[in-house]
Amino acid sequence: MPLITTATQEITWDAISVAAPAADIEFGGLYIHDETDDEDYFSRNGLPFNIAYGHEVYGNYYITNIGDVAIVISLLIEVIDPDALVVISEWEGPFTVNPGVNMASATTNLFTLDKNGLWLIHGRAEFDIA
Amino acid sequence: MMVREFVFGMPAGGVAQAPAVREVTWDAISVYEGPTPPGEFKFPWWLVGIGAAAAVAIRTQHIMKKEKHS
Repeated sequence: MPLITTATQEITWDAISVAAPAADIEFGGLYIHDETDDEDYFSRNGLPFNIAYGHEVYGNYYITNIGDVAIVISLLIEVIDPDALVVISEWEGPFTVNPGVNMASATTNLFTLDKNGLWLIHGRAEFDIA
Repeated sequence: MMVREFVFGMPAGGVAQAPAVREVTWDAISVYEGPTPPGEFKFPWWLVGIGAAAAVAIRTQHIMKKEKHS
C-alpha cells in the first residue's frame, strides 16, 4: 500500500490593530459666588473658602472633554451642609461636548449658609460616546 | 485643599455598556461667625410650683384672717 501525504503550510499575520475611540473627562475647578458681598471664589486659590454665616451663595463646576471623541454627558451637583444633609441636588444636561477644550458646567441655585462649619460640594459626571 | 475624586468605570477598548461615571467632592466652604445653636427649650415648671404654693399660702392666710374676725 503506498503512503499518501499532503503537504500543508499556514501563516498568520498580526494584520490590523483597531483602537476604539477613548472617552474621557477631567473635572475643572470649583467656583463659588457670594451674592451677599458680590465676591467670587475660585478653587485654584485654595479650599475651603471662608465665607461668613448668613451669606447667600451659589456654586458651579465644569468638566473638560479630554478624550478623542464627542461625548454626551449629564452632570450632578450637590450641596452638603455641615450636618451631612444634602440641601441641593440638581442634574444638568445631557450636553454633547466635542473633544478638545470644550466644556460643560453645572450650577446650583442660590442657597443660604445657615450653619457653621464645613460645606461640601459634590459633583458626578455620567458620560458616553455621542 | 481637599478634593476626593473617584473613577467608577471607563470604556475600555470598546463600546461602553454603561455610561462612564466620575465623581468628585470638594471641601468647599468654611462658614464662620454664626450663632451657637440654641439649646432645647425647657418649660420652667418650677415657676408654676412656686406660683401654686404662693396661691395656697395667700388663700390660707385669707381664710385664717376671716376666721379670726368671725
